Amino acid sequence: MADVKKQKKKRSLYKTRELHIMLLPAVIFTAIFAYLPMFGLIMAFQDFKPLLGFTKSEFVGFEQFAYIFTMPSFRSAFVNTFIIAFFKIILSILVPLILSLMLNEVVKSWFKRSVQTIVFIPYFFSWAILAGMLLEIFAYDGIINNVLENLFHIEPIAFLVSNKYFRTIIIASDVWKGMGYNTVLLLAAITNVDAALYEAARVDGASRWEQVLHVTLPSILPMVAVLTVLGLGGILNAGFEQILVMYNPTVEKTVDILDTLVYRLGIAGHQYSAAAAMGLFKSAVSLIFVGVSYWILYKKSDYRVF
Amino acid sequence: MKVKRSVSFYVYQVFNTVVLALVALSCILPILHVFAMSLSSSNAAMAGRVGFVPVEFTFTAYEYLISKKDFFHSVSISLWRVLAGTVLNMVIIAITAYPLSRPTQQFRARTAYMVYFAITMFIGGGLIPTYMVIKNLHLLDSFWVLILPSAMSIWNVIIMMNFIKGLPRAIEEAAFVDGANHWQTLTRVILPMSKPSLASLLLFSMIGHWNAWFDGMFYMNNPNNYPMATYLATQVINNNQSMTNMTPEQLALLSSLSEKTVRSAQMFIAIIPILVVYPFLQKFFVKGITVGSVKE
Amino acid sequence: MKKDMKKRWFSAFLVAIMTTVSLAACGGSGDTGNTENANSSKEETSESSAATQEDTNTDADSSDAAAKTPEELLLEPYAEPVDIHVVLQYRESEDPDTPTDVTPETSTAVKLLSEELNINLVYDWIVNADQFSQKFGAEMAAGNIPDVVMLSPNDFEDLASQGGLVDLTEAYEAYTCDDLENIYNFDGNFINVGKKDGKLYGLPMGTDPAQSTSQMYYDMNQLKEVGITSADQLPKTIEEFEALCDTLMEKNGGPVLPACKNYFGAQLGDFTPFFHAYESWAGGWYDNNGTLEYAGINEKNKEVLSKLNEWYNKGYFKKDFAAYDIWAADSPVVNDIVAGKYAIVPGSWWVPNWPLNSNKVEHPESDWVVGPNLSLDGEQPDIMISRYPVNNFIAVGKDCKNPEAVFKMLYWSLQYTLKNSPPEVQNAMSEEEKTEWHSYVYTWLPYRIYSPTCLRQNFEVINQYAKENKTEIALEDAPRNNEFWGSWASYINYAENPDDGVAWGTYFSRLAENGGVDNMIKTVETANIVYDEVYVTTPSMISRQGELDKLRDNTYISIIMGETPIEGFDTFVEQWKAQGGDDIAKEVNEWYQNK
Repeated sequence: MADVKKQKKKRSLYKTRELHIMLLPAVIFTAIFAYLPMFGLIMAFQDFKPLLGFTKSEFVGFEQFAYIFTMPSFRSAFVNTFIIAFFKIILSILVPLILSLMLNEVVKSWFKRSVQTIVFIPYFFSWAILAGMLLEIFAYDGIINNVLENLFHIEPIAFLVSNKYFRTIIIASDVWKGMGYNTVLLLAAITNVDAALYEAARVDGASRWEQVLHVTLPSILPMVAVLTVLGLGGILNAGFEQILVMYNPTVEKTVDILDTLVYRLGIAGHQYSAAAAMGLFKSAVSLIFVGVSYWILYKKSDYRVF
Repeated sequence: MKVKRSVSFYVYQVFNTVVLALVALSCILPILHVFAMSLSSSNAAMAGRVGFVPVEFTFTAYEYLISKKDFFHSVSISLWRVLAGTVLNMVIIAITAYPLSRPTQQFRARTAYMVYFAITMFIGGGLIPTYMVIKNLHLLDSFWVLILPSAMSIWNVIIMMNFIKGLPRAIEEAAFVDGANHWQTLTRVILPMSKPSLASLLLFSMIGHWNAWFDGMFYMNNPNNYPMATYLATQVINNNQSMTNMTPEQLALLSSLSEKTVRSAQMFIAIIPILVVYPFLQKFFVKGITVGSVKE
Repeated sequence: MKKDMKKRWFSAFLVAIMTTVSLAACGGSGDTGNTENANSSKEETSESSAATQEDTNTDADSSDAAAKTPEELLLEPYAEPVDIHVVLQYRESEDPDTPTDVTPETSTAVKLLSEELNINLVYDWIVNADQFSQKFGAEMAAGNIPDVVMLSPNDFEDLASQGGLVDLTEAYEAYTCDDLENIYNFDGNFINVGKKDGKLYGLPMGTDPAQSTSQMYYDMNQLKEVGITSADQLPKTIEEFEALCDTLMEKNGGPVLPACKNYFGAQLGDFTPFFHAYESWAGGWYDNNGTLEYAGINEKNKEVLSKLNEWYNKGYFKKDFAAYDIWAADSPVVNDIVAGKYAIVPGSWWVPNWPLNSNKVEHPESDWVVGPNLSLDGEQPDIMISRYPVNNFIAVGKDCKNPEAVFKMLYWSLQYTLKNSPPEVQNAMSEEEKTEWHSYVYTWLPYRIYSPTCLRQNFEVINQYAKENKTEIALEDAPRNNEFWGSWASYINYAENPDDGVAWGTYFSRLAENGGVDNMIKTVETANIVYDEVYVTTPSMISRQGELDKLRDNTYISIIMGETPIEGFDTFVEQWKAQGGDDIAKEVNEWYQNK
């Protein structure tokens, strides 16, 4: 009897035909909508003219890459992209992590639920709308300056044209807008932690704080790792839409990013090829980042994100 | 000892509550502002006299919206899109994440599949080639263009896959022992245990479909087929061209730049469905699952 | 047992899929299905008509018989239906009376063009203006160019150089007439802008070059409080202007002038009049003894920048003015103007039309007048205007078999609006006719019939009639531009409702003595004019101009805000030249010599 069961188990465990079938739809969708358009990448090596198409446009080798690398604003845009993206990635995980841990400690469930709903609200708004509000709040005669002046007697600061503060405003507002999203994911992971583990910890005399430290955090670490590695994939997407609607000439030194640069390229003169080259360059850099972080994580904790 | 601990616990609770309340406040004020704006007179809105309470209370903006058929038509397209798109997304996520969560020794081809999918996270073909592919598939101007290209989201699959990996293996092994095949294991064991994760992915998928505007704009040839988010995007006019030579046409455009109240009303209406659906889904994240109750 | 379960599961899966499909199909069927059908049937018609087009052309040719005037030719319907494929940068109708169920496909123009000229206007795709360029590029790559299309100068340059446009020379010679010349060749020279190597690739759409002048608007009601009671006390020189601003600063505190990041050429709340007072310009190529020079790097600009920096330090402008885009929706700068925070507003002729009219609605007591143009010595300074102020081109795609159709459509639209605009005609319309009139939405057509001279013409004509106390005009006494009846209506409207802020706005901007247009005309008639000669886009401009403009704007604003000392201007000039400015100068001058 036991033998039959064992045999059955073995057979079903190693039968993978069903698994292939399950993957089929995703494979097809990916082939059509992700791989098929990749033929367009040859554009980055051409002087692409839409009317001539991919077949007749002139091939120029790496000229487009040379062109974007020598653009005067390329260097500052590249550096800014890294700085902004780096802080956005770190904070957009750290802040929701703290929020979700705090939420998990809340006893009153109505409060917990309401807060959870409310922190999600900014996520629904588009940047076009939020930018208007943020510019109002941080204006020279805006609320923030009023508060600083009246409560702390600080001279008003022209935040919006300040190369010292504006980048921080960009990062902080982005983290604020998106924090509901990751909070929900992390909270899902926290509620998923095996209750028996807490019980065991309590039996061992662990305080609440110790429980968080030794039970909750290690249990949700995989989710945090996933979010971090996925975030690193977007290291060169520092938030185009937001910056486009919020920046101004005076703070360009500190917040101009690759994507806004490409946008200006495209608008200025239909430089499809230069834009494609920039895209390919971004892909390569992101790939390196994810690869390295994946590898580090795998070496350190034997955890595979993919 | 006991007293001390409860005092610190009490202090912590208060601190916790205050901080969370402040964070929540910072998030709710914008929507109150938008709501107040939508119910204020347009001059008050333009002059910046509206805070969190309507000034010169009026329903004009909503009346104007209700008189517009295309807005509600676009809302209905969006609702269908959310429904069909989310169902498709969830099915694909489930049947893709499950095989990918199998251990490599059990499913050798897993690595190859994973590489195949992961590459697409970093490399894309760009707008024009994608457009040509979609055009050749005769998907332009069709409802399906809103759903099929985004059917497979590798990001969501990876999140789901990691969640499944984190589930206790004992239960699924028990299922195999009982003679279940992969389909049965997925639908009867894995999915019921993944409710929190499914609920959050469901929410993201819904919000994604509800808010997506660019595909509607780019792949639809006729504004009649625009989903709501695209319709709203066409309403927010941001005229950044140089106005050196103003024609009467551009002049007329100027006065439409300031329909702040109408846009606030549209924004508010656009958020309502999500605010309605969200609390229902939230139940699943909060309750979580009772993994601990599995007894063998 | 196992098999059974599998089957059941599979059927459940199937049902789920089917439901999804059918649900979604239901959702789409309302529009998608129909559109697809419509599209395919349209394709069929276009094929069948392509077959007959040859005949159509020969018919037209043979019936020409050399005797017909262009006007007769223009009104002649095609013998067989001709399909004209167009695309559209969509915007809703500006006419509030347009029935809500009218779409571009069901608009009056589509209906009547088909009935009266046998032209079927087919909308291949419709997209928002923001995405037009991307969609257009993608469609081009897929091999589709519309038959008649309105293009930005950059797109025009791009498409013409790739061989995507039809040479219109022949059609132009056969079909042009006075009414149409007023639109694309108002000064007898303008049409040349659309020519390349002697071939006419597009009909230029422009505006009056005088529109690049800038006015100073003052609210006499607010200025009363600082002792200015009549218009001749308003400042003429920069020195007097500065004194007035100082007084206002003392009285109410700053800021006293609207300002925005679009510091030059924004035509509202910008620094253009101050640049003009110093005979300086941020851009434009002027002829200096036969060589074109770029005004934006002229040494003279240092003076105005230093002055603006001084004003910034005094607090005339908001400290963070550079963060605000005046053209953003709900721009706070505009809102402040409407709220009456400024007694002085620099801007173009149309500023009373918007946003000063909104200010007048909010604050009926405000009393806006146009002040003298500022200068250093009280005399009218030299002004720079474009020789060819082109906004767009109407072009015909290379696959179009009937290039002359564009002239017929233009002419038809002009006739239709002229015929139906007069107030008497409007009042006599039946309900049905009214619906038809309001379903004519000009922004849904791939061309405009705007005559650049109409602002001046209507100003003169209507003021003449006003002197004669006329309240009615016969159709034949009206100028033949499509703006006239609108201006006439605003004159009548203001006479009847002088207290209405909106009526005041249209009247004061266009028609009032010493109003916007009046001052604009006076300025160009009295001033020495420096022309901006360049209206082409050269290869280096395409790749470099954007970044060069940015470099200039950042430097100027940085100097005004005191972040960069004025010496930074010299560094900027060096950078400008090195980063492509010299290349552009070379190309532009080559073009200028061989023109």
